Amino acid sequence: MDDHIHPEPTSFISKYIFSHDHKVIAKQFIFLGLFGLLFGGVMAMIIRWTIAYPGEPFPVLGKLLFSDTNGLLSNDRYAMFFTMHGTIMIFFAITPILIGGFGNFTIPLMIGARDMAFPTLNMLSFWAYFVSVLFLAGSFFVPGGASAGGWVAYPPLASTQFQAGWGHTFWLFAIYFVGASSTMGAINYITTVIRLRAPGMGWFDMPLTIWGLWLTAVLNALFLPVLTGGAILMILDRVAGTHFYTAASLGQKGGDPILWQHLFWIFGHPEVYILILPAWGIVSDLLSFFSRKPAFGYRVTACAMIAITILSALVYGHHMFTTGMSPMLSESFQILTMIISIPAAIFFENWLHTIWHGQIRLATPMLFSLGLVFVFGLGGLSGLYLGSIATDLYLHDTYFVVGHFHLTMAAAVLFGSFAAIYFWFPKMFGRMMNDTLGKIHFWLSVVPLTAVFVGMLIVGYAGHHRRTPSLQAYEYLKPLQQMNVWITVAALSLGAAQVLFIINFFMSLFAGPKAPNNPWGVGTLEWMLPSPPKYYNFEKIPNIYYGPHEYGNPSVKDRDWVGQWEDPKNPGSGGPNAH
Amino acid sequence: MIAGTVDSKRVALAPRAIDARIGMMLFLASWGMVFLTLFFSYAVLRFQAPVWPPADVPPLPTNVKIFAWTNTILMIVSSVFLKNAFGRRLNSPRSIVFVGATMLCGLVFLFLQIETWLELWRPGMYMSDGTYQSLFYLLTGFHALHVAAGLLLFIWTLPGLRALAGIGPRPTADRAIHYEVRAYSVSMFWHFVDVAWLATFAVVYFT
Amino acid sequence: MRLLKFAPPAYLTKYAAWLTGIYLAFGHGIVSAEQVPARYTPPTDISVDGHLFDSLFILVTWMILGLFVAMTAILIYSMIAFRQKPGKRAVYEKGDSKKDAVKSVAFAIAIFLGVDGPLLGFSHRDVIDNFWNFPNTKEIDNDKDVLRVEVLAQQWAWNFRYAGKDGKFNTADDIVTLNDFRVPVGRKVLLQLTSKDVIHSMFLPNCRIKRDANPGEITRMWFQTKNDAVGDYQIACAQMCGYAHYLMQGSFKVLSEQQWTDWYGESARISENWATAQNEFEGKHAELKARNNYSWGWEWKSQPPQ
Ligand SMILES: [Cu+2]
Ligand SMILES: [Cu+2]
Repeated sequence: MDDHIHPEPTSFISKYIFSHDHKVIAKQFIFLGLFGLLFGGVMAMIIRWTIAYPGEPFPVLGKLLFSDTNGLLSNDRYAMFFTMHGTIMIFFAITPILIGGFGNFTIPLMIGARDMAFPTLNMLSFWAYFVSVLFLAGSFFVPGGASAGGWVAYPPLASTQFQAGWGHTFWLFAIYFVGASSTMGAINYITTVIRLRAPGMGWFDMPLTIWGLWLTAVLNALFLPVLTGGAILMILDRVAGTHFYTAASLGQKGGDPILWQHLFWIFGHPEVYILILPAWGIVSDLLSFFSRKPAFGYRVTACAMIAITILSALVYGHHMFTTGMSPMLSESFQILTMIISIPAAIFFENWLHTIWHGQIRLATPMLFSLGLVFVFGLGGLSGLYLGSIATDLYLHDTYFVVGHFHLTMAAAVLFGSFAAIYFWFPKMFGRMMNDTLGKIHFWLSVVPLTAVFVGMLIVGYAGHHRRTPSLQAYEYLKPLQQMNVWITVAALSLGAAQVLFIINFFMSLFAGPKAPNNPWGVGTLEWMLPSPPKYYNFEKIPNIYYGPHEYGNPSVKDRDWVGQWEDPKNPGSGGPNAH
Repeated sequence: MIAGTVDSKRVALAPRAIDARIGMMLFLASWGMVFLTLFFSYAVLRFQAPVWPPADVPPLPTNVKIFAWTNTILMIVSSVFLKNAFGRRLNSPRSIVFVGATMLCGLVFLFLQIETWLELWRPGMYMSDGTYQSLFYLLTGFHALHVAAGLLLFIWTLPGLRALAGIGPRPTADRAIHYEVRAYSVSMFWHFVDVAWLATFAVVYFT
Repeated sequence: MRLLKFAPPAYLTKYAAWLTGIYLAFGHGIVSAEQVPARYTPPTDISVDGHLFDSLFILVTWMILGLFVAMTAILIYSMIAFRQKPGKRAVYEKGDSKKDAVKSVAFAIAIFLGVDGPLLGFSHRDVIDNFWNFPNTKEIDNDKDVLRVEVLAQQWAWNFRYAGKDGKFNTADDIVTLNDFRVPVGRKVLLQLTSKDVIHSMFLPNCRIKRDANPGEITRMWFQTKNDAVGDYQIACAQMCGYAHYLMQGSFKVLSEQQWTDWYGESARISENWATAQNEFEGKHAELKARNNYSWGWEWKSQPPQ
């Protein structure tokens, strides 16, 4: 980046709407993502309510939304709801908060850059994403309603023969735009990290947050296009009458419906890591920051992340054990899937080793990080049952799967997002969030959240298959109704606990105490800047002398942290208040 | 090859030019995955069919094959032209001539591609007739869209190339880098489209 | 598990719902679940291979429970024991030596070999020797040793076809049923599945297996019931197949040898029932009528792709 600094834009539109500033774009993504989380969450509540209390309208909202069916969620709407719940949570909540939001916010700040490598592309990325949101929101209002075949959209159920309306076509358009947005973002992130690291910052001097985000960007760049390609075939099947996914039977000139499953999961499995890698990175950093101790085995952790990124491209077949894939292929996927537990075990080991003998500050971000380790432990371990064929044949497409992937992708990533928000909020908005409320929010979240998803593991083990609004059609499912009521109660409590977060967020946004430059005593580069940082972040790009996790360094006497920017030969050079 | 600043004697890339190259390579790698996905789909569908092309599909007319071969030659020639256009620094009208030649190749390519489709439509081979037909139109059509996009992008670079060649007012150094980055990125895209055609050609006509 | 085996009292769930702050409307009682005893384990195991799943599941559960408890213990212990004390510093320990790296990789590999290893081994064995070790029906054209059944899944019902007396499928004496799957106890059963519309998945929870029924291709599945398995069970569709997916259940009856002979002897009457049942079913789901063409059945594939 050239040394000259562009002038700050002055008009409202160029400053807050069509902004090129990575910090503003990050906020745009985060706000939209939080809205997505709210919508997806309320949908989940209504879904759970329908299962637990058949014939009872959902309080207040039921009567408002479903006045034509006495406030009840009808079966076709139930299908739309779980389809859209999945789509929204993955593409319109987690992706924008962690990748679009914190990716944008942290990458330039943590590597010492003034902005992304391609600021205009960054802005376009947000607006492509916004178009995608419009398509998805619009799909609820087209004749025939929203897409209703599950977020995996398997044809032929996703064909015009079975979903004639525009809902699913809109869903596909939303996928294109989200793909375009993510690809633009990914190109930007990868280039920025390669090119714009501050002088002295080698690859292994980057915070693990950046490692996570960078590897996510690599996966996004390589595997989202596979979904785009598959979606091109699907939309042609829908609007041009082609025969890619039509079944070669029953008078149809045949393609192969299973082809979509291959394409979808070639994308879909890396997508799991796309979502979780940023959270891993963030938590790896936060555990070190709040234990006041270096991240144990930093290089090994980073290499384990790389290993998992590569492995994630090779295991997608574990989603297809029941399709009739050849046993040879299935067994290969089984073995590759299991190998993932090696790098995963390394993470846990290093995380636990990091906090061991630390001086742990149990601030809210730390609590959420520890919570992530806990729920992700549950989620990761429950994955073993699904990676092995003999157990998957029974558990596939049951609530066990739902419980498993919510514990990994949803719960862990949710906690990762909360940890990130509580941690970077002061840098982002210049005000502190309320720590006490945050702690209550954590405890009121972690308990019901564990209950909900472990409950799902249990009912799945007991045979409850997915996507059923009611259990009453099956004799053998009736004994699971009580457990499902419990799950719903836990889910509603979990939902209610989030009100605390919303209150805390907005209260702090407008009336929180002013944040100092470095409230946590952390040595990564963003904390040398004022809160919030100026338009072009760094007036002078710092030189990097230390790694990101210098805590308790015995050569520094008066405090237990060292900034990455501090010159060991010239102590005090540019402390936290250098500007 | 491509210069950092117009006036520099030795060619050193401006940081922005390196950024753009990396970004463009990433984009092409990413977009290449879409092509790979389509080829993968082709392979999956093709190897499931007992006979290929299916028995009810008449063999491709000779005309179509001639068009395809011509197009292949056109694409290769266009890439050579383009290499020539940017073979040295972009400060002479020569590059504009070569870019023009490249665009001409592209135009003829598109024309022949449309001829190909018309040739097949006449006896009544449509996209919705079956998997083979769907794949044929998908792959050729998807590629042709890229050729069309490439042509539009070339038009977008022309004012910059004119300015660099000294026709009209001389651009500032900053502006010059801007123009060169743009021209070089578009040329990377065109080479990508060329390679994509070779792959498409091999897949559609020879498997 | 015992702890969980009481019904949530209605007042408790109601109170919890109040607490959520969502349950604002007055006069709503939570509809209490039908009072059936709760169950937290899979339904009765009726197949000779089912115990393989059950035991493997339990084995894995114990192994990972060990890991999970250890991890949670470390987390909680650290949260309490290593809380920040004023003026104290943490150990400056980076763990970036070669030795540390080797140690942590070795530990991870040990976990892989110790936990994933047995799981992989047993899974491989069970799949190759049992779940996917399909009985060979190449030379068999009677159903004495292995009962062959063709299954056609459709939105939202299961069609079954037995070969009948001549041992050949798709002939006039076939036995065809709707949502009524019967097998003789103790005999191996080999199914060939397909679907007439969307993807379904035939799930026999009591046998611990499932297999997708895909339109346009034939997949297969097999099981063998235990000798004491006579009784009534259910088939579920595990794959999302439309808005009535949750209703797509079929009855699954394991008959004694005598019951089986009686039932199988009445083939003509049974197939007639199928036609009536289909008509009734169509009546319930009007949109199915237009797209369905009910003549089906195929010559038994002696060597399906899998
Ligand atoms: Cu996966
Ligand atoms: Cu079904």
